[in-house]
Amino acid sequence: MKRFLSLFLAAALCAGMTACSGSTGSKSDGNSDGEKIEIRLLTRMAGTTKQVEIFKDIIKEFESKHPDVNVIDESQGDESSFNNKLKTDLSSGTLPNIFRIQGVANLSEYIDNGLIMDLDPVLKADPEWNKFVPGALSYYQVPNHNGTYAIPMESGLIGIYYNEALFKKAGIDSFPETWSQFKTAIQKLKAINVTPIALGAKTTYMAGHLHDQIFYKWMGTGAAKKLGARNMNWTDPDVVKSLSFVKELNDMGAFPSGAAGISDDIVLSQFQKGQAGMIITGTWNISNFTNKKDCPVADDIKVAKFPYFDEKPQYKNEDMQVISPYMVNGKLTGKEKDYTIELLKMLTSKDAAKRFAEEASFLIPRTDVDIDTQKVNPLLLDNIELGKTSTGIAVDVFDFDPLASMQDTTRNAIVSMLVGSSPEQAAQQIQSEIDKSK
Amino acid sequence: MIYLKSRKDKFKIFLFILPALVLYVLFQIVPMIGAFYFSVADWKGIAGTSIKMVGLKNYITVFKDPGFLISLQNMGKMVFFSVLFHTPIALLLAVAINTKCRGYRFFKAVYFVPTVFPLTAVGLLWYFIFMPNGSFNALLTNLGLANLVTPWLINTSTAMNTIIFVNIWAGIGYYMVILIAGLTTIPDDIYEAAQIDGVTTVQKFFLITVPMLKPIISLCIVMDIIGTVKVFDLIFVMTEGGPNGLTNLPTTLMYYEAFRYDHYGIGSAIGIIIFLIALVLTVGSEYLTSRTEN
Repeated sequence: MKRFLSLFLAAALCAGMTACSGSTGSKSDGNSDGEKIEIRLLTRMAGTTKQVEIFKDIIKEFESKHPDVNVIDESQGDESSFNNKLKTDLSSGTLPNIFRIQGVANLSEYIDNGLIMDLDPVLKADPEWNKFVPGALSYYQVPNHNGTYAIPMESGLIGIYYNEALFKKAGIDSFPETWSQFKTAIQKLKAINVTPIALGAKTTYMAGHLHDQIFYKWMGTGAAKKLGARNMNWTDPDVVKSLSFVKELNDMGAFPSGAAGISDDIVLSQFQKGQAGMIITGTWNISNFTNKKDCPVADDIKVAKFPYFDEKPQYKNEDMQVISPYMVNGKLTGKEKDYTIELLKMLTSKDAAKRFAEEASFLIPRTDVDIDTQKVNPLLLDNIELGKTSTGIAVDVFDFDPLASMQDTTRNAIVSMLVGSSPEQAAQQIQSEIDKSK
Repeated sequence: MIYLKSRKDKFKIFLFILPALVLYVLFQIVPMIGAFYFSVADWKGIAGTSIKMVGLKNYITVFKDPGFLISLQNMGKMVFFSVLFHTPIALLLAVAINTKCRGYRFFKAVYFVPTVFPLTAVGLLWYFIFMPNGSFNALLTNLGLANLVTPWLINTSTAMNTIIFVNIWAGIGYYMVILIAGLTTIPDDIYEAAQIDGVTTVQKFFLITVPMLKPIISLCIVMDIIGTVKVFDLIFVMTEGGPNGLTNLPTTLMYYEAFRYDHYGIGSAIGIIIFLIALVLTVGSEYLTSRTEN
């Protein structure tokens, strides 16, 4: 009996293991045998925010419309988790139906391998849906490729959100328009013991966004494309100069002490509590500035464009904006493709854009959104107005670079200036990453 | 030694080994072979794309990268100090607790608690303590030691040391428990005989406890080396390797190269280098401890 039992236990273990490893995650691509069609989504729409709630509502609505479809939402809010999931899917050939990849120039490889669908035919076939802001849509017209490879699902000016009451207390009547006025304002804020700019560069994107703003105001958004196309070097004097402005701000104490070791959520909280005068961020944080429970100074928060350089007025309206995409798997066929496109349209429709804007201060760049200004947060309206004056828009400088490592390389080099490196060293560090890849 | 004569017995034993063997081969050996293969190849991480064999190019790139050399230096420092402090402190605590002093169960639990937490939670906890506006700097300021306030995790001279300290803090309990288990195997008779011979407590420690625990101590050292070479989560949570790669370890660099920069070849090459380092250190420490024993 004991022998039998031991054999049974061992066999059960083996069977269990085989069952575990035997599953290949087979995916149905049709419902001819009664199986549901799976549509997988991998976006950053995860968490408990209002925009995520709307996103999920739309998915539910789609599912109730199509009982033969099962939508699997694998979205990840955390950037690292999202990247891990995306890279695993890319390398294992299990790319979701709708996903997003940061950047533009680095999309070539994916397009060449047929992983991203050209959405031009879909856009042309549905003029009613195709009411996206032309600048936002053309952002995903990848150099050396015909077509449009993503639908912009989020936009908005990345500007400076500032505490007007603190500015007034410091003797600053209006938000500085130029770089010299900006530096004076920083000194005045410091004089009343307020951190001028809430910057937590442990989360390196904050330092990156600061430099992006400076770069566009100093050299225009076109210069980023030149850097990506290798028609310009990071060690060129003008680019080094743009880096030196970050260093200048750091040296004059514009950031919290030890900014390189503080994360974004901590400085955000400082700004919300009125301990910092400004923060550079986008529309995604507006809801954090309007909730009085989390942000007692909500009434004092205003938004403005990053100041321009007195000697470069031509770049006054060259702005950093956020543009986030929905991309569609280029390998889809048949009903699965049709359903995926239908869901994409529902997520970016006129009605969805209205709901996202009014309820979550989340902006889909459409020209036909009929926003009820009474329902929308004033900060979002100001942001929309400021965004309308942009003569050139770009997201991050590295978005135009074909090297995937440039995101970290540029941001790390910028952070290095906060802990002692010179602008020349930072520029050299970034340039050597490019030279290494040649 | 048990000799299995019948085929039936051998088959039975094989069946019991099989699950572990399959798991080991599937999740250890196969990925290891895969890592070696990718380390001599150039692949962008896109399924279906061509994999170009590039020989040792990835290894050369890795060793030419100043960031990797910094990470190696950090790893060397971390292994050295972890081995230097983990086992000795754990041994002292184990001996103290083994005296069954008043409240020893409480202390045993307290010292073991950091081991129960995931290293990510431990890292986050210490990040909030050591961050520039964190509680440690606040404590120093309140104690009138404002001149000692420093951004611990970004200062070149303190960043890595701070992480090493946290790694030591988090691991002591684990080694302590192993050593306590080892201590219980030393017969009381030996201590009693030594006491009759007039041996002092300190002498007992160095002449009986340490020699009798040598196999356990060497096991702790080997596990410590392997564990420290593999540390990833602590760095990832506390500094993300920053500022500017100052606190990177080969493990974090491997992750960044493969999963952020699409350099699967370089990432795999770093993985193989980590494996070789762990192997050399483990075999080396085994050799050193066995030589001392002889």
